[in-house]
Amino acid sequence: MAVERCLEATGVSKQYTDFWGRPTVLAVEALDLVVAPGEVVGLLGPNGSGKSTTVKMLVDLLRPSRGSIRLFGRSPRDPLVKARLGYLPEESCGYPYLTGLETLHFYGRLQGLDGSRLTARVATVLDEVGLRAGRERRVGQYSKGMQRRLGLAQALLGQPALLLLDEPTSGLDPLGRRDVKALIRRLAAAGSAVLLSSHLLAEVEDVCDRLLILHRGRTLASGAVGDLLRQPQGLRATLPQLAPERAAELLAAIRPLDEAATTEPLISRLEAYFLAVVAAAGAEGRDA
Amino acid sequence: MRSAAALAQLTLRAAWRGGSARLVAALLLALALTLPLVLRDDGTVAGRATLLVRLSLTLSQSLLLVYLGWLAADLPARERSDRQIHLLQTRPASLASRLVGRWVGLQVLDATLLLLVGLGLAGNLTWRAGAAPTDRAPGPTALQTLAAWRRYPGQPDPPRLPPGGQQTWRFDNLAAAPRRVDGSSRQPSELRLRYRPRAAGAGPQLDWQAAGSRLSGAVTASNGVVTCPLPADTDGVLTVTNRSPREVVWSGRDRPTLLQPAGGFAANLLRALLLCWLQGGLLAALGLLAGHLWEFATAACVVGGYLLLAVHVPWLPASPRAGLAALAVSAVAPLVQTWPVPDLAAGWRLAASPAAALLAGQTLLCLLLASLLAGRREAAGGEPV
Ligand SMILES: Nc1ncnc2c1ncn2[C@@H]1O[C@H](COP(=O)(O)OP(=O)(O)OP(=O)(O)O)[C@@H](O)[C@H]1O
Ligand SMILES: [Mg+2]
Repeated sequence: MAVERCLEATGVSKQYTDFWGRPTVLAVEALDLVVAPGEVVGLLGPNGSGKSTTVKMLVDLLRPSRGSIRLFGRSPRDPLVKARLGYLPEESCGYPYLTGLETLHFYGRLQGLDGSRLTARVATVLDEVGLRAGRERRVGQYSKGMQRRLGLAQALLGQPALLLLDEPTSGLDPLGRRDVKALIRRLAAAGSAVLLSSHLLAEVEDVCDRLLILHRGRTLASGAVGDLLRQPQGLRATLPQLAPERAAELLAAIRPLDEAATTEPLISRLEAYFLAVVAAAGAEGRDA
Repeated sequence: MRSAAALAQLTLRAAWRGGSARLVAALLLALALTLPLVLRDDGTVAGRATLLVRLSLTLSQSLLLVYLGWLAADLPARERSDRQIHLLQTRPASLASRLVGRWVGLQVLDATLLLLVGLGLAGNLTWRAGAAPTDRAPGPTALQTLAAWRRYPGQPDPPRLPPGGQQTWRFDNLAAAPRRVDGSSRQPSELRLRYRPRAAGAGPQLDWQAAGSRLSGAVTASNGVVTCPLPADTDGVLTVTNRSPREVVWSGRDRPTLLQPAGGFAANLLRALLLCWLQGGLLAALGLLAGHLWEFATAACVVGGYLLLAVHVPWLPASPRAGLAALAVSAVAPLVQTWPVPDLAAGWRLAASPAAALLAGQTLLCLLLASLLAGRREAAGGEPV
């Protein structure tokens, strides 16, 4: 029995045209993509490579010029499909005159929630994105990171089976990024499928099971992150307890195995260092 | 339903918190307070009250229509340019429910503001009716005067009455006029005609004959308006003899018109406000559609153009044979006529007329064209509708 696919795109292309129908930009070309439940897939590519165009086609904001898109085996225009979808656009787009809480209530009602279910759901997503403290402030006064968190919160409102996130961590501080990455992993573990676009390599590497590299609309590579990055030859050993003065000793011991072996001091990544420093300073940090 | 309610609430919040609704409410209040101070009337309670009602309603409704049209076009257009449309379109709520929700929100706003106008007006007039009237003779108070009248213009037109001449007029729709609740007879009527006095003195001496019985000349003239009370059973044919030494000619708006009282002041004010509200609803719907299809500048032009057209209707030929344009435009005529309250039944007759069908056809065609254009714009990479 085939597992239900959350998302299946075959041969999807998007040709932008001018008013008279003359082609201008071929933003996406013959894209094939499948996302299964519980999977996190990353769309990776430089600026202008067609990531946002792809996501917009998947949520029916743009019509593909060629190819077919099925979400949960149906057309993306189907309201049943939309009810199971969460979308975070590239740019934040709340109503500046509403407070964060009102914004979520508004989108929740459009999603079909009401009454105590809505209130409970709003409280949950506010906690999940760490926006509880700022919920009574007007969206127009939000910082960029807060707006991003609000965008994420509205995407999560309907407990979506498929989440499409266009650059979810742009504008977020490292703590926010860490939280969002953890959130995405949690959602995937609970069975949701997530498709996220980004040009931050570390982020995609950390959180995605599979990735797709786009360049000028064409798919350059796709597959499981582990498979794509694994080098069939070679090995890296980490010895966190070994003092750097003993590197010569170690090299001498392993040179007979591999002539090209090298050693270098263990350096932590800036992100890990930053998080450790902030944690040490006792910053609570989860709430924006 | 849920999403429509959410959109209605959003619309109200946008208007209130954006400050525009507060500004308009303040302007309406200022109008209600200052208008009585600057008005110059003919010195009678009735004259002043009529002037006040007409001016208040006309000015307030003009302001309200412009505001509603602007708001209706602006909200959806801004939703697109600020990209909030992306989050609306990816929800299961349909476009229709979103449009309905917005429209309901605008209509609630309109109703609230109209209520403000109505309360201001009624309060003002009640206060003035209580104040000492400037008329020397004890006359009707303002509120009594302001009962609206149903109008039956007489045929033929223009009537020309030489001295000693006789003229028979038919008042065509009189037979269809509503009867009293007990069904026995019609309400008492009044014949009213306006003339421009060429010489000082009383108006023409006229004798009236209605339903065979002679009713000689209880004619009163005030401010060029001749009124003559008629019995309740007037049957729609009137014979008039001119006993004055000069010819009398009436035409156009001055021609003899049979008037029947159509409700008291409060009922009429409510009807007028309802009419204003319906007009606002029409404009709001138009503005919303335009705002959904085009960016604000274009949508505002469409709405403004429609308003201009509607305001200029009285200057266009009213005859149904006066050309297709006039025909189509006549369907929006009620937009400028709120007092005296026009016969609401006329609106239904209009809706069933060829003019309305033509207008509906044109609207459909425009919508089709607009949706084609919108489709094109999506292909060109603009935001989808
Ligand atoms: N509305 C549009 N009309 C015409 N061309 C467009 C439109 N939107 C995007 N493009 C073009 O399509 C290509 C892909 O754009 P897209 O926004 O999908 O890139 P992206 O990968 O999301 O880039 P970024 O990382 O900067 O967000 C670009 O060359 C862009 O210029
Ligand atoms: Mg993008």
